[in-house]
Amino acid sequence: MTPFDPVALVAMLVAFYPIVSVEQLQRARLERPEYFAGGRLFGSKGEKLQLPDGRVFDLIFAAGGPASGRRWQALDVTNDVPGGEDPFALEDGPLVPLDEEFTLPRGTGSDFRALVAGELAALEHDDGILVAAAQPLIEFTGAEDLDRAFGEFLDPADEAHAGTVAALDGDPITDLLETTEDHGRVIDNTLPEYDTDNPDDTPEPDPGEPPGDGDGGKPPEPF
Amino acid sequence: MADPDLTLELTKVVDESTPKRDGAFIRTKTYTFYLGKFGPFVERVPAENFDDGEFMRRVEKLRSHLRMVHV
Repeated sequence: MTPFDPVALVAMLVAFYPIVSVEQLQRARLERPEYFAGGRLFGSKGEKLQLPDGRVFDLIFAAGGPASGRRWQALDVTNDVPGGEDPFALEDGPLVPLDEEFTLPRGTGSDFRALVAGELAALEHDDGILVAAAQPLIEFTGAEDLDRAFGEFLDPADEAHAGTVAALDGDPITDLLETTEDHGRVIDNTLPEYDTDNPDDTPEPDPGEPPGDGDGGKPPEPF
Repeated sequence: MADPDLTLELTKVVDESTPKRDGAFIRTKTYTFYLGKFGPFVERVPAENFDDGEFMRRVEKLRSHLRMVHV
């Protein structure tokens, strides 16, 4: 029987079976039985290999997880006791499993009706409150306050506005007119036609001549 | 880290015929070999329309993955 080499087995699986799954493992077992050295596949998902000498290898990492997290391996788990203590056990987190024995108490119809009735009872006979709240809106009683506010705020503001208008009427605009006249003179200075001659065009550079048959050509003229 | 010794060492090459359920036979050339200290590897290459490069392509695939494992 062919000797078993776990490294050779993993290399073969990685090289020729890129999809990591139990199905592909079984296919490899059929197509290339020598690498498995007469062992048999078993385990909860069929990912373990038991050799005739009793050694056990786990051949798929995270066999029960998503396909993207699986990979081929040959981990000797011969001495792992099934169901024994997990050497990599996680610490207890803040969440605890629900007590399957516990059942939420069912609400009774009478309790709910009593709750609603109690809330409604508190709202009864309160029409007087609404009437008292609406009365100031219906009967306007603030005329005196309104007159006082006009006298205190709006009348002084009106007088101040009238004073500002009168001051503007008395302000001569002579200075403004003179300044505007000066602007016109400046504008007139920019109106004449541009009568300066155009500069000469820049001469085109001489590109030279490419070399031809028996002719070395001519290099471009420097600027 | 230096590359591991993955020298090919053939230990057996045999022509095999494996019967199928329909009575026909599959003819293969079976190579048993080592790559350095790793192995044995056993690869079967179909003998029908034999491709003499197929075996070495498989060997190179195995070598590339053994190098990764070695790192």
